[in-house]
Parts: sequence; structure tokens; C-alpha cells
Amino acid sequence: MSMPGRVAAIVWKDLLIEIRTKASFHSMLAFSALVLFVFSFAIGPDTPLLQRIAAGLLWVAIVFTGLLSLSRTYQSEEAAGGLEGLRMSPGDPRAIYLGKLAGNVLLLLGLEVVLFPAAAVLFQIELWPHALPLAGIAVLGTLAFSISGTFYAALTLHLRAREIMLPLLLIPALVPPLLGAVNATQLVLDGNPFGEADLWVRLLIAYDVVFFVACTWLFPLAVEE
Amino acid sequence: MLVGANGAGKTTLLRIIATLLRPSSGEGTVDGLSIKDDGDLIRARTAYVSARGFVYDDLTAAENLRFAARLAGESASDGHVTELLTTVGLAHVADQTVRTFSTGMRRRLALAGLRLRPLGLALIDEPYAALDDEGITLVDRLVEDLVTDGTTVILASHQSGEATRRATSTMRLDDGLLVDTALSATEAS
Repeated sequence: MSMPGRVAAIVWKDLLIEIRTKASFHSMLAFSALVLFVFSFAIGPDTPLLQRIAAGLLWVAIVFTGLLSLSRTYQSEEAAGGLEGLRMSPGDPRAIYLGKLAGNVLLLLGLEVVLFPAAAVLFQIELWPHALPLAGIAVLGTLAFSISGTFYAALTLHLRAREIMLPLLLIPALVPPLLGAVNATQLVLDGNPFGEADLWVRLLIAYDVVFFVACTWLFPLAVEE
Repeated sequence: MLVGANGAGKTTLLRIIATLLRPSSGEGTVDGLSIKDDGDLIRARTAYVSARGFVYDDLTAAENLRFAARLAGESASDGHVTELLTTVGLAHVADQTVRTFSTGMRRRLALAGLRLRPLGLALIDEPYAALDDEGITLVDRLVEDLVTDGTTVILASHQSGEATRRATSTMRLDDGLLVDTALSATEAS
């Protein structure tokens, strides 16, 4: 079967399991809502301050929640006897990475569809006039997080202290795209007065391309025993 | 047939042959292909069923087989899936999630996956584990069908079944070393 067919099979399987168990989405939703509420209440009714830091709070919630999702990326495989079942299938093992990556992206984007409007209500920011650029930044930021995250989740799969190692390895690698996503989001929310958001968007695109190629290429080595 | 006590290295050897585990030293070939360099080519004609099996608790029996077929590049029609499930005595629970299955039923389902595509080599770890008499008979029939189709089957087990008795050759492992190789009576005759 072609690579896209195998990728689609893995995405179908993971989404079907997620729809049945709702294990990841519900806990992600609850956790991200909690993060936003806690920040919102901690800062208090200072609306201008909330609006100034809204993008940062939003992306912190996305990254924290995403980490929760990443640790579960290969969980269904472990319950089924490890990654071996997928690795034994004929064809390029990179299909496993691409399938898991697509699943993570879909799950996080699904969460963001709820999270962005929730943040708009809590922080009293106007999303609608900037919906299109914000959607683009959300997709690029989510891709950046998922590309690295799915790779590092595989890399730490066989480690005893993987729950600790995954964020330790991943968060430093996420600094550039996180800076890009936060700054681009904030600038767009502020009306992008100086057109600076473009620079951060370019950083996100460059990160996505470079890390996508590198992680896809290295994935077979990451899961080799 | 690969025999040996627990911890003798049967599973490790099967995983190395399946190219899931890279040997720390030495070299090996499967049908002339290097287990170190030709993993993709070997896996294209090889299946490995571990002692735990590769089945997903939250998919139904039929969905598990369909997923395995799609992953292997085969199209599994409803009729073919039903036929496979009938072979292992699970047709009546085709639409039940595997979570409700006993260990033996999970084992049967994992073994049914061996009939999804043409194979050159089938590696089966502890095929008789957790199976009742009917299950053991089903495994023996499955192995017989695979051999009839020209598939080389390597079983690793410390339990006996008809397949054990019919094995072309038996290898005994002890602490990671091959200590004995014997041709079966059938082959010798």
C-alpha cells in the first residue's frame, strides 16, 4: 500500500479509538480550561493587562495540554503490545510517524477550536476580525509543536523516566516556534501595526519545514531497538 | 520449532529475525537478505505474532483485522474478514470490542492476522499460550495451512501441539545459545 494509505489507516485507527474512549480530548479540554481560568482569576479584572498577555496565556495552555496529549500518542500501541505491530507492517516505518503526527495535529486543532473562543470570552479579546490570520498562526504553531512532540514522544518511548524526559527534551526545542506563535498571535490581536507578525510567521514556517524533514528522516532510527 | 526454557532467548531470536531488534553483534540472513540492512524487504514477506499479540482493545475483532490488512497494503473485504474470523472461531464476536475478549480469544485474533497476506516467513511466539484444546487445534490447522501455502513457520514454544510433533526441525536454545538442532522423524524419513 502507498504511504498515504498507511498513514490514513493509522489516523483512522487512532481517531476511532479516541472517539470511542474520549480519553485524550476530554482530559485535554478540562486541563486547558483550568489553565486559562486559573491565569484569568490570578490576574483579576485588569482587562488591558489580560489583553496584553492573552497570546502568551493561550499558547501556554496549548503547550501544557499538548504535552498531555503527546504522552498518550503511543499509549494505544503499548496496550496492544508496543510499536512492534506497526513496525512489522511492510513498507516505510515513517508512515507510523506521519500517521501519529496527523492524529496529534487533528486533536490539538480540535481543542483550539474550543480554546480560542474561550480565551476571547475570558480575556475580552476580539477574535472575529482577525480570524483568518489567527487560524493560520494556530495551524503553523500546532504543526511545530506536533512535529517535534511526536518525534520526541517516540524517542522517549522506551525510557523508564519518559514522563520527565519528554518535556525536558521537547521544551527547549519548542522555544523558537513558541516565541514565533506568541508574538505573531499578539501582534495580530493588536492589529499588527508594523507588519512585524510576518517575520514571526516566517520563523514558524521555516521551523515547520526544517523539523518536519529532519524528524521524518530520523524517525526509523528513533524507534529502532 | 524453537524450544527452550523461559529466558533462553527464544523471543529475542524471533525479534532479531523479524528485524525488530538489531543484533548487538554478528550477522544473519533471511532468504538471502541481511537482517541488518534489508529490514524493509524482509518485513514485506514476514509476519511476527508476539506472545501478547498486536490487537487493540477498543477496536472490534473485525476492525482489528481490517486495520492490519490496510497497514499491510491488502484490501480486506467484509467476506474475507468474516472468513478469517470463522477460521479462528471468532465470527460470532466479530463486532465486539476486544476489551471484552478473554486472553485466548485475543490470541486467536492475533493469529488470524497471519492469513491476511501472502507470507514467506511466519514467526509465532508461544502460539499455544492461554489456548484451550479447541484453540490449540485451531493453531495447528492454521500452521498447517500456512505451510501448505509455502510459508516457512517458526514457532517458539515450551508447550506441545500437533505442530510441535510435525515440526521439520527443532532447535533448542539455552541462555542465548543454540545447543541442539534435530530433524524431526517426519523429515528424517
